[in-house]
This record gives sequence, C-alpha cells and structure tokens, in this order.
Amino acid sequence: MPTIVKIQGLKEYTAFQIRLPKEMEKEIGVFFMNRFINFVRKSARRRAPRWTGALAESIKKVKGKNKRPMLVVESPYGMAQELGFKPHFVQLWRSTRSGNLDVADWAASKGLQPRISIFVSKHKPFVRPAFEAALRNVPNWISKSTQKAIKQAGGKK
Amino acid sequence: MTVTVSKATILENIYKNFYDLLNAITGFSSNIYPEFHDDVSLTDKSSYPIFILDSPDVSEETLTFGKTSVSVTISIDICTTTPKDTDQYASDAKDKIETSKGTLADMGLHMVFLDSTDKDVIPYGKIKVHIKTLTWRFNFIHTKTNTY
Repeated sequence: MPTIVKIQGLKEYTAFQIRLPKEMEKEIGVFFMNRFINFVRKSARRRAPRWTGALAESIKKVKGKNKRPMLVVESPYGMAQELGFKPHFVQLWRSTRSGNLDVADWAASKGLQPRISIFVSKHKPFVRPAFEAALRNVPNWISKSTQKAIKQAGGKK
Repeated sequence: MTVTVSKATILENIYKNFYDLLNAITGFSSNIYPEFHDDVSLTDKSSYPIFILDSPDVSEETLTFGKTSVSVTISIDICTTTPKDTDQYASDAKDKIETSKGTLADMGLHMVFLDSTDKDVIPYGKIKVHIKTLTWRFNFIHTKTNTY
C-alpha cells in the first residue's frame, strides 16, 4: 500500500519566503534608516554648540542617491566645530558667518572685552557623539524591524 | 480642551490635542515647548524638566475609493537631569495618552498606540541631560479629494 505524504502549508511558506526579502528591504532599508537618521539629526541638533542657533538649524535630513536618507550640515563652520581646527587668533571685525554678526558681537555676548582679536582653540563635535548614541539603540531597532517584516510577510495572503 | 480634527486642520489640531492632554499632567504644565523655542534654556539646571513636543509627521494612503487614511506620528522628548525623573514623567505621559484614547477617538484619531521609545544623554556644560523620547502612532481618516 503506497504511503501518501501530504505537506500542509508549503504554498503559504513559499509565498512567505518570496515576500520576506521585500518586507525586510522595506523595514530595514527604509523605516530603520529613516529612524536612525532622525535620531542622529535630533541628537546632533541638541549637541551642537549654540549662539544664534544657526548651526543646529542647518543640520538636516535629505534624500541622497537611491532615495537613501542622508544627514547634512549646511553651516560653513560645521566642519570646523566637528573635526577641529588649529588654535588661532580671529580679529574682532571678522564675520562669524552666522547672520550679520561679527566676532565682536560674539565676544560681547560672552562678556569678553578684547581689544583687537580673540583666541579660539576649542571645538565641540556634535555629529559623532550623536552617531555613537544612536548606535547603542541599533540592535533594538533592527530586532523590532525584523519582527515587523516577518509579521508583514507572513500576514499577507 | 481638545478640538475635533478635520482635513483642513489636521496638523495644528493634532498638535493642540496632544499639547492639551499632556499639559494637564502634574509637572508638565507650562513646561511644554516646541523644538528650538526661544524661552528654553537647556544649559540652566533650574529650567528642567523640559518637555519638547514635536510637530506631527503625516503620510497618506488610499483607504477606499472615497476615503484617505492618514498615518500620523507625534513624539515628545522628556528632558530632565536625572534618569529616575525621566522615567517617571515618561510613565505619566504614556498613561495619560493611554487613558485618553476614547477622547482622541471622539476627535477623529483612531488606533492610538505607543510606537517606540528612545533615550539619549547629552552633556550641557556641567549638567547631564537625560532625554526620553516617546513616539505615538495613530490614524486619521478623511474624505478623499478626487480630481477627475
């Protein structure tokens, strides 16, 4: 007597296997990336050194190649604050490149009374600390995104 | 006082509803600000706790032939100088929205749930600020504008 083996659910499992990569791409490639960049953007904006707020406001999320989210800092002095610079003197009449304010205005706001120039030596990174703070949350986010993708792939008929 | 959300007032009324609900919690009153508000001094320890309610994000998709479903997310950042206070206020906010789901449904906001929480620690001079972000997700349905 022949033995008949019936596998139930093979069709559904095959459909799930076909849908899963697409759902994973959607969850990890789109939602997770957006969430990661949004967190870094927000955290970097809060960490950015503040005077007029122009540096913090210039930190934006944009769409890069293949519609991937990208973080940009549009301020001209963002790179100097992030990566550092050689300590040097800056004359009071120089523009701060933050609106129409010059270095003398900045010195006055800090209660300084220099005569000709000020000495600048300190910088404060803001994107890399934000990136590191976001990395701590990555395992949790990826786990949630994966669970959601599996649920989405399995749930559709 | 909550207000009914409509197609024309979706963003501002959602913000107002959440603002009014959270403002009613003890400890939150007069400390809720939008992002980058001029009155907020993040370097002054005495100004904490600070609650920053972000503008809602929306995305639309077709629900039926005549209706559009709008998926909305709104988040609040709870900023304090100790992690214990951050968690306490976060619990209060979560509980308030949870118990107000009926009120929000009456205003047109359905399937409200806490989508995610994030945390961050930022040094501001001599103080360390602990930030907990709560993000809620919900739906709003309105009649579709057909162009044909």
